[in-house]
Formats: sequence, structure tokens, C-alpha cells
Amino acid sequence: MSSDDPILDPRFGPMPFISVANSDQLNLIPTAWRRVGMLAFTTEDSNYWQLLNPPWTGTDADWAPFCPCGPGTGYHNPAFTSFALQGQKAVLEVGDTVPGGTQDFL
Amino acid sequence: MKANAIAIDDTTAGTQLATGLANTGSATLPIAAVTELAVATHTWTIQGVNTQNVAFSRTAEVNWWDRVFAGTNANPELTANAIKGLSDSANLQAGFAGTYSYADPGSAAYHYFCAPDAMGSPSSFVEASTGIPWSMATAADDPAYSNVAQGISYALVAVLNTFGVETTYRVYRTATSYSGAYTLAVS
Repeated sequence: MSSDDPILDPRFGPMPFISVANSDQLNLIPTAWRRVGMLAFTTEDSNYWQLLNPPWTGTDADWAPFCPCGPGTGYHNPAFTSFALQGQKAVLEVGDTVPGGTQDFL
Repeated sequence: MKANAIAIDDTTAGTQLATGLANTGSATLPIAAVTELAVATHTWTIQGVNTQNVAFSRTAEVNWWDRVFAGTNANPELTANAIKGLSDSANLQAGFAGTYSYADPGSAAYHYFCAPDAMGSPSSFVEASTGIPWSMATAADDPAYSNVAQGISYALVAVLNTFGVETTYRVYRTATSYSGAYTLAVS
């Protein structure tokens, strides 16, 4: 940390945004630089992250994915958009069988 | 989401199929064959963990249903094979409610509707376009139709399906035979 770091530069006050290369660097942001709610951008995957409330552990758990999609969207939680057994009908006649063995889940 | 933290379970069987999977979009896993001899649902679940260690999931389901039959036949009673031969509808369904189109049989015939006894009791058979109730056969018309539920008479017939599973069907029949194409609303 240096005195000319923009986060601590008295001309700007605490800055709520930082850009880093990846989540490893995100987790290395020292406590003194951190502000609850601050946003960080990871260039490696082009994701935004929002700093959660302390206590912080210096891990991914300190951050939540942030979706800058519009007002009120808040945190962007991951979700599975689909899940199915490949080639398997959703409805079978009573007595019919879902075959055993190696199957692909998509 | 947290890396390499996806798990897939056979929820119905209560077994874990895989853990620690990467988010690659697919997983090839051995599963046990599943055969259901009655109406049932089998569920598999995929679960992930977000960066706040909160789990999120989605399920895949396969449902086992019976067929509901609709069609015409000139005979006043139906055998199990005749029920399976009704040609206007034989869809796998979770319930009997719906609209069923009957093709013109070409000559006078009874209009039949057959649903598994376990699906319960229809309370209304009406011609869909007019809302006019169909007059259904009673025991006075034919002793086979001696069962009554919701004020509507029906016969009971055991039917073996394609997989050799026997299901008791309620057979509903129009009181009279006639020709013409109709659409029946059952509720």
C-alpha cells in the first residue's frame, strides 16, 4: 500500500471501486483499502464483485457477484438454468423404465 | 459460484451420484435403472454453492402416468382391449380434465371416455362448443354402469398396459349412440 494509492488519496477520499486481474488479487486487497459495498472488477473474467460485511477472511466469501444490469437488481446469484437427463422423456407410461448405466446429465 | 462444488443426487433413491464436479455444463454418471409400477415421480437434483457458501439447486423429474382413452365404439360395453383400441385419444396424463375431440365414427356409435379409477371422479361431460351436457349411460341403460360418483355412472374394467401393469379404469359411455364429430370437455 502506498500513499499515492488512489483508494487512500485524500484528494478523492475512499474510493468504492477497484479493478484487479482476478479473484486472487481481489482477495489480497488489504483491510485498510476495503469499504463495505465497494465494487471490484476482475479483468480476467469481466465480472463485478461487491464487498460484503466483515468479518473478512481474504477469500471469495468476502465478495458477492454483482450484476450491474439496472436499478434494483442487487446481487446476482448464480442459478442452474436447466437440468435434465439427456434423451430422457419427462413422462413415461407406468411400468416403463429409465435405463440404468452411464447417462449424461446436462 | 464456487469452483468444483457441484453435486448431483438421486433424490428419490436418497443416493449421491457425484460431488466436487466442475461447472462444465454436463456430467456423465452411472445411474440405477428406474421402473415404476404405479403413478410416480423420480427426481434427480443438481446442487451448487455460491461464493457465500449458500447452496442453490435445480431438479430433473421423470413422471410415470397412465393413459386416458377417448373414442367411439358401437358396442354398449368395452373389454380391456377395446378400451386400448379407442382411437381418438390415448395420451399419458396426470389427470382426466381436458378437452377431447371425437372423430365422426361414420355410423352410430357410443362415445366413450376411460380414465384410471385412481384419477378420481369427473363431475361434468359437456360438448365443448355449446356447453350442452352429454347424457351418460346409467345402470338403467346397462347394468355394467352401476357405479356412481359425482352423479355420473360408470363401469369398471381392469386394463393391462403395454408394460403388463394392470390398472382399473372407469368407463364412461354416452347413453345413446350417434354419429358425428364432437369435442368433449371433461372436468
